[in-house]
Amino acid sequence: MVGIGGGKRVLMVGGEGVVLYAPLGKGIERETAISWEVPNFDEQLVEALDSKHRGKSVLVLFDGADQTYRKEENIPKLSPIDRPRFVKRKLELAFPSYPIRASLEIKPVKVKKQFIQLKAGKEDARSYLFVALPDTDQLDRIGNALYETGVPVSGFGLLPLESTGMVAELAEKVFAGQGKPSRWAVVIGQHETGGLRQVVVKDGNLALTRLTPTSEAGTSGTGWVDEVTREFKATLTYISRFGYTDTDGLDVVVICGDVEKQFFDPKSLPVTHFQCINAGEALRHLGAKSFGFEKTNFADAVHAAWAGKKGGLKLAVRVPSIHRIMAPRLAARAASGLLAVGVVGLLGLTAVDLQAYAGLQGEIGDKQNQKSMLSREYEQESKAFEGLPVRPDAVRATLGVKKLLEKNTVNLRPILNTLKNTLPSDVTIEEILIEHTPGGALMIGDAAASRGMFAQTPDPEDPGTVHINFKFKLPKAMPLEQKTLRADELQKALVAAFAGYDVVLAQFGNVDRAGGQMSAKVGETAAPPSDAEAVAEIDMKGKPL
Amino acid sequence: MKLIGIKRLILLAILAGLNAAIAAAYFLWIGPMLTDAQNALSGVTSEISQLQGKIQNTKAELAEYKDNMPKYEELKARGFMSGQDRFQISRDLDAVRRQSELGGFSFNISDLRSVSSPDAEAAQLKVLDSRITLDGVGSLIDSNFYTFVDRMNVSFPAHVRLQKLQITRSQPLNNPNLRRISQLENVPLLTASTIFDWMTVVPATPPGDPNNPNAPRQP
Repeated sequence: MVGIGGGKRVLMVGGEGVVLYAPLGKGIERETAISWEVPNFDEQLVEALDSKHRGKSVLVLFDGADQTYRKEENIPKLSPIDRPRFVKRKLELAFPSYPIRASLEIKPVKVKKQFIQLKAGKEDARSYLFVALPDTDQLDRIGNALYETGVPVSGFGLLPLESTGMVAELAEKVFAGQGKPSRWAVVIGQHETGGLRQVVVKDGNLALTRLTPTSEAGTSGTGWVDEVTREFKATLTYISRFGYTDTDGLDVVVICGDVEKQFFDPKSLPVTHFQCINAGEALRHLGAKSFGFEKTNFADAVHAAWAGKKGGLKLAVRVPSIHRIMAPRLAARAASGLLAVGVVGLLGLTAVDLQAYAGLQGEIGDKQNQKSMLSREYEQESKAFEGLPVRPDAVRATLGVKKLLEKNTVNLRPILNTLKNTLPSDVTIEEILIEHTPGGALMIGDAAASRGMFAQTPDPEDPGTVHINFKFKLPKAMPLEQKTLRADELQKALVAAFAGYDVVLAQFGNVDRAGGQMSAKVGETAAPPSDAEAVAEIDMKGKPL
Repeated sequence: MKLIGIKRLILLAILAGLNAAIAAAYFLWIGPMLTDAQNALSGVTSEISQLQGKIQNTKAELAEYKDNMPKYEELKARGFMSGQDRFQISRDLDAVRRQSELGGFSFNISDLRSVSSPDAEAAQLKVLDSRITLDGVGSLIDSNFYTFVDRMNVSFPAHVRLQKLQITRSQPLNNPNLRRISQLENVPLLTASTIFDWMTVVPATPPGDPNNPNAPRQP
């Protein structure tokens, strides 16, 4: 069924002239027909195009004999990027001398819920229908007329290809309820643009098309019927070469006048179904209204109605002289689309942001309420400080200072206990010095001012350093050598007792057993030891115990 | 223009105008408005965070204050927050001397010195230090010196830290001295000298000043 809506003017271009159709309601009306032989063809065409329907876009439907078709099989399975280039190259090689070329992929058609493969065993191979046209003077004249009037052009199509669907649908509707559908279908009609057009379809794809020039028998009457019968029989021989057999089934629809219907003899034709219908009936089968086409023997209107109501072309062919007219409008349409998308996008963006703004406002309101509650809570909490006798920071700072002072105050007890427990009983202390230098964190007096800018931050946990120095004696009767040994032992004991302390011993008589200088007497009465020999000194430094 | 058509041109112009108008509205009005709202929300959120932090700090500060107050009162009772009265120190030193069973000695107190303490300065406080030097303290036995130092730490007002203690045998333990000791004579066989640091914390500002630590405060 032909789709409803929009509707285009259809300019059919044939070998004898052009016919212009315009949409009319759910049907179509014939605006004009102009022969190429008319001297002022161009002026007449411009005038016709510039009529009341000039706002409707014009579809150029080419019905000339110059179209060349070739089915190209065995196109290998390639990536979506490579395949168009490969097909284009194949097309150029197939029609090197034709300036106008196009290709159409033939897809497997569903028949009885099964895919019919184009060739058994080649599931991956694709088939293409290649078409080509010469760039004729007639096409240039059509292009010039369209350019001059400035009417919108919706495209350039080839009648046999665009009517493929019409043939299949017409056969289905005309022979509905008459048994098993046939795989082959033919629509035959006399065209006002010149010639007898036969469009043969197999499984919904174009299988063959023929355009036979009008003979001396004319375009109607019994002579025309004989001509049709003869030409159809010739077509039968062609399609037999393409694999047609009686078992496939063949539906034939001839579009003709009511007078010509009477002269056809279907029994003489070896086909499955045969039916003659007039153009009006054909249009009704396709869901379109007829406006006086019942009386004519021409079938152009049926093709024009089908092509004009379709959404788009099955194969849009790019003809330079016509494309130059379409290009600006296409560009404008693309720009309109982009701008429309821009408007929608910006409106969407605006709506989203406005919605976000509304959400933010609500959130801000909630937060303001929360802030007010917190402010009140803070005020209440703060009131607790008003009656305090001392500021909390003063209390904290005072305790902090106290802690620092305690950290840097040495406790003598563990030091003295350790020292007392380490000293042997025969050791007599002559003098002792205990001095504590506080850690760097406790800066008394000028200590803070004397710290340079490069000084490291003092460690608040550093308790400072304790310096212990004491002089001691051993019994007088003890030989010097024995005293030095005892002093060494004491040094070792102090090192063990005061972990981490540096313990330095100034030996009795400053003797260095391991190799230092020494003066003494032998073989004489022992003299009392000198002061240096009687006293040794130990110096210790380390952290407070 | 003829090929495009006047209607489509008008449509293009309208669409372009609509695009421009909506874009202008978006970028000049809605965008800045949204940014302002986002900034306002960030600001309020930040203020809420600050308030929540302040409330938590206030509560924590109050709890800490309650915990610390007994220790503070104890320090105050020990005179840690008092001035350093030079006459009072004589009486206090003499009390410690008697507790340590030491004989008389001379002492010297230095001028007041300040101790650097950022925490104290932040709380409008200052830490004062006086160096106490004791010379020629005599005793028969050294344990009296250790008791003296210990008593200074425990009994002396405020905070006292020992800087230096030096004990020297000043007289030999010979027969004459033993005889004197047996006659219960006070024989100073040992002589000591010590240095202490006496430290207190006082307000950095006069009592009437609003910054005085004893003045009530707002957190």
